[in-house]
Amino acid sequence: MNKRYNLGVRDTKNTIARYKRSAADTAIYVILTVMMVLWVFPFVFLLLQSIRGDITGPSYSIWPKDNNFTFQKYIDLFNPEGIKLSDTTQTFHFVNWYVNTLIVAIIVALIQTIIVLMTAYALSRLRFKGRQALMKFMLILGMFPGFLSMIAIYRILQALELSTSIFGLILVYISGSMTGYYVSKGFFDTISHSLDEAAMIDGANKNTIFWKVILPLSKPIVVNTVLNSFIGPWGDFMMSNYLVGRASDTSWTVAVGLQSWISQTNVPYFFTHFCAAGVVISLPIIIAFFFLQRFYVEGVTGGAVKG
Amino acid sequence: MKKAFKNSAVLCASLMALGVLSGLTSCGGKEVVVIWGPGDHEQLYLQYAAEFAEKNEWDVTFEFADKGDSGAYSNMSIDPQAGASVYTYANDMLINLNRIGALSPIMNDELTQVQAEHLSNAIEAGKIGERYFGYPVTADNGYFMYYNAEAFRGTAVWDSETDALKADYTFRDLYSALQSKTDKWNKGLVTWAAGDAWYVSGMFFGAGGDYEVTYDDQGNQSEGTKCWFAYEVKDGVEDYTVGRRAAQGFKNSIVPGLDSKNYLYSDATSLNTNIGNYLAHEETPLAAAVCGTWKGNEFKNAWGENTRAMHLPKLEDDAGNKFTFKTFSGYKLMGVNPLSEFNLKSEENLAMSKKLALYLTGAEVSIARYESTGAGPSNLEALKNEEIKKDYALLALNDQFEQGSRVQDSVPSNYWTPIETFGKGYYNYLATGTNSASYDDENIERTLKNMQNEIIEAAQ
Amino acid sequence: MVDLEYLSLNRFQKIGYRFKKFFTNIPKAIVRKAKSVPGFFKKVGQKIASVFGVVVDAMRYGDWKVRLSYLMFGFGNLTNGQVFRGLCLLGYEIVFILYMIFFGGQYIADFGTLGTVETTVSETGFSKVGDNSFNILLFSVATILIILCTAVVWYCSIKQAYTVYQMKQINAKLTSGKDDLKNLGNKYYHATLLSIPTLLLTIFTIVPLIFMIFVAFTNFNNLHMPPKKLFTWVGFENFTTLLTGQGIGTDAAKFSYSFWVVLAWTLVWAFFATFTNFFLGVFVAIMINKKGIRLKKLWRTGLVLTIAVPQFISLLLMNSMLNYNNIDGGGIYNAILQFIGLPAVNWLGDPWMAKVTVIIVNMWIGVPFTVLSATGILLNIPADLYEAAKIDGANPFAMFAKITFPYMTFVLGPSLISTFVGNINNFNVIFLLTGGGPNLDTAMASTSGQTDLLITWLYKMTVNNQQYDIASVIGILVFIVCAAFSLLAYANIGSVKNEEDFR
Repeated sequence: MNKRYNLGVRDTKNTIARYKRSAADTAIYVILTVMMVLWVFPFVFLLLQSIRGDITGPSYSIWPKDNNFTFQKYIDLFNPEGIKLSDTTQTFHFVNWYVNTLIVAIIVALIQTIIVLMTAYALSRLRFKGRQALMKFMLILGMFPGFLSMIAIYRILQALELSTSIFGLILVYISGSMTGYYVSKGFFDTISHSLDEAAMIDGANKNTIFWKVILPLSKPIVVNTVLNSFIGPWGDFMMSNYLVGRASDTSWTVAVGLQSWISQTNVPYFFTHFCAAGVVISLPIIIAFFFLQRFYVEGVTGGAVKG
Repeated sequence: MKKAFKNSAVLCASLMALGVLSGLTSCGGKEVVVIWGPGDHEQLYLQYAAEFAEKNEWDVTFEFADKGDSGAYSNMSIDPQAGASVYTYANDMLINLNRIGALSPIMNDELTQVQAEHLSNAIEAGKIGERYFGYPVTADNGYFMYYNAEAFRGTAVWDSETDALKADYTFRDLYSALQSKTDKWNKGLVTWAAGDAWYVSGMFFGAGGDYEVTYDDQGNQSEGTKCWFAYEVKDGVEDYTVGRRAAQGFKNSIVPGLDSKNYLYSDATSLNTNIGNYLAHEETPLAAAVCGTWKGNEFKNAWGENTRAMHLPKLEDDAGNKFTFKTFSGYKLMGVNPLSEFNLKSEENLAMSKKLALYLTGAEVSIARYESTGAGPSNLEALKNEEIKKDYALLALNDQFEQGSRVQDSVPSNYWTPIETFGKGYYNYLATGTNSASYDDENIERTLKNMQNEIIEAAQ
Repeated sequence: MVDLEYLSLNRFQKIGYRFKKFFTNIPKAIVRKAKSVPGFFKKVGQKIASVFGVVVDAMRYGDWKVRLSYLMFGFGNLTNGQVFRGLCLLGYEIVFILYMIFFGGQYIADFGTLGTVETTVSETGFSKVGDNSFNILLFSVATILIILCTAVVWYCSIKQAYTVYQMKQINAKLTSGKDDLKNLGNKYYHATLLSIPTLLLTIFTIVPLIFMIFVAFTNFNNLHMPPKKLFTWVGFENFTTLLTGQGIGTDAAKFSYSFWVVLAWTLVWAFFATFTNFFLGVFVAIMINKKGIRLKKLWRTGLVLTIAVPQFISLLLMNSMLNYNNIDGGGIYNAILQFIGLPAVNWLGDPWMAKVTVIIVNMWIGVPFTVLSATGILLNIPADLYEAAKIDGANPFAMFAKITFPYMTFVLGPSLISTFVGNINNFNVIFLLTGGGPNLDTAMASTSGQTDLLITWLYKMTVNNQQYDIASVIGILVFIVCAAFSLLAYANIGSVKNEEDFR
């Protein structure tokens, strides 16, 4: 397109086009900036609330009075003795919640990733009887509202004596991981089969191919799966409240604890602590996201592009 | 194909192994008695339970879990056998808890002792048919008016002799008193939770409405629910006196304050936040609020010297006739769950759990409970305590009880939401004019009728 | 319309045509599905016949070892030298028998009645627990699955014994236990990979799910709570109660009314939640990825924040920010509105406003997801399409309208269906934001509110009110709604079939 020798009419046209384009770009910048403000504002608000020293409840202003900023809320959170405010008599153990959730998230991330990858690999690259049926079955399974059966899950865990421990929770989280095979399968589908054949000729069995040939090629999808399964437990309120929410507060997860801070009885005293905890919980995930965004995008698009 | 079978065989074998294992699991060690209650009672109960065990040479360990008072039922209902042996609950959950078998009746000597030691209303609150299921814990649940003396002193509503509000003051008086102020109190706020059924109920009771649910010994409802919040059928005609009166009382408690911007609307979720936010607000400070004893310290901390509390204001109908704003009076009770793992084991275990409940509701623990959490006891001996006698919030509650109250015994199964819907809907209409098809003068009777019918019909 | 006519259409007409075809194809798709039903049953029938064939043949032609395998799993293998397989089968049988004696048997025996012995309370209040209908139903479901599985293993054992017998006859070499183990890493590798995941799925998802389906046919509710009370089978009563409003309970009419109101809103919500997110997301993605726009990473990271922050935090925060009160507006958004001179809005308290608010907040939560996936697709659009358009003299807008957007719709279209189904079950946004409220309609059942989706209503019904029976019925109906949408979509689009293209 760069035909520099063609001057005159063409050049004017280009100028107009450039002008038009820059007008369009300006409009886009304006729209994007407005959106960014709308999108990020709640998080800025969260951050500011967490360091304000003038109040403890939900506030109707962004900035604290007299620039009264403090990191006391964060110090409170990590007090190993727990948080006890003068207006309330209850002690909350945020450190325990955090550690519990961290343990759950790490174990779930590990096991869930393995399960998802194994399932995806089997469904993508192995051909066996009942494969289609299994995939259809899992599709159907996903359409039932899962928590309807919470009480039954609870009773099964109780039979295993795990009903109020975080290990029961872990078991529940990883039990359904198999159904999340879809994106990874889409990824495995795209890896060329000539690799398998070459390895097979070298005498490798399918087990070796999976671990030594395919997995090393699947870094994006592995990272994506780990990331997703690691985030899951931080955000789950329903199941964790049903199980560990029934035990004393030292065995809660962050979701259960934070929900109790924002309940109507506690919110006047703990809203700013809630905000601080929100920041503490979100930060590692945001940082992970920032560095691993590429993989995440690949995960989100994987299924759609290839479908 | 064969392997597919084999695979499923492995699957099943593991399933079964799990089943067999779970059948065999049992553990040794000391037996555990689980106690449930609100989180702020944890230390108290664990400490006194241990003391009790020592005194009685009872070789068990105690575990505590925070279920709040209102969470007892929802937690217990999942599986009473995994529930606490001893727990506290709010008395409106009595029927539900009994229905799932999670309450053991108080018998013989114990009953005599309970009846001798506690307020009779609190004991009655735990009664189903002819049997009693609750060891009374507190008798401090109700609402009354907190107000700031500075905001009203020197206005028309102030009684300088008693240095308090006039005994028959109304919401309208409060608003106009604030309007007559020229300082910051001109913009002072009065709040009562018009969007919370618990508070709205008081207006219906005050207007002459009531409900009635009768149960037999088994906890089964023996007659249909009766409720006359809107109308009574007199000589075959629906008489809406009660409903109209209550609705007018509601309207007149709010509308004058809406006009002058002195009424702050609250509902169940926002009441606490509103109090927290406006208690010491610079421009629009809270001047008066309808709330309960649990907020006593918070008001005291914010208002200091000027903190006052007394009975609720009078309500008035459109003709200007005054009537009482009653309070629900609720009680926290302690229950013994006969289905808990521990209590199922032997009669002795159950008997000991009951003794523990008796001890934890006794005078000593009641005073300690008041000291650590400010909970007003139902124990007569504890009520004689000097500190408790002087507690301004408890005094105000008793003042309100004298004005009028309704024991919050087992409410109809579908009670709260219809009234909440009415309160919120009517307030919305008064504030913004929306929903006029349901709440303007012509339609309000139909809406009240809907509300009442829902309370009656949905009951089992 | 013939191919030639189709080709002569411009892009918009083509899309319109496909769109129309999608819907006109629905009846055909249904007919096609319906037609495949007899074939399916025929297939099943043939399968059963062949299974019976093996069972009968083995008995008729096998030797005594084969015949004994009918009672003692793996006997044929054991006695013919296939010790490993034989032991596996025998071991399974032993565990099964132990399981039935010590655990499963007692429950399955009461499956028909769900228990008859009531819990009794003595004069002193001491309770003796009777049958627990809940445990009977739950563990019966597990046991039934195990029995079905055992039937399969039984058949497998017979077939194995018979095959071994036949192979002995012709002196063929039998696979050794070592080979079997080796094959787990190769020929039967799928079994190795899938067994543990399937086991977990069975215990914690499938068994509970079947349990809940059964509950829809019982009267397990707050009046029949085990162990105090027994519950039992009631047939289709719960379904008729919910759908027609006729039933024993006096609040049946309310339930039914609420059900239709909530269902309607659920569908309206799913529609708006899906399409607002899709269009805005695609639009934003195109803007960010437009050539010449700088700071791409910044824009994207800003959006990604809502994905990275756990939803329960961002939504609970949003809930508090959207507060409203009648004095000074309330939450921060109202404070801002008032600051710039606009009236405060009752975001979550007014039924209509609450509906609008949840859709808007859902955009805040959901648009970033669309942006991310749309970005990936945008980068995949073949560049020569644009080159060709440029040569034709198309302006950027025309390129957007004629290339970018149709391409996006085409690629993302199928995922819209699953997003739609996902939105029907979108618990978080509604529950954490409004809790299903407000409920200002006195005609609705007290558990339901005016922004409740079926799924949140269900949650409140089970967790707060223990109405498991009705809740299960609603759960089944939710499933039917979701399945219907998915089926229609998959029957028409058929993108699932493309997977073999990559092989």
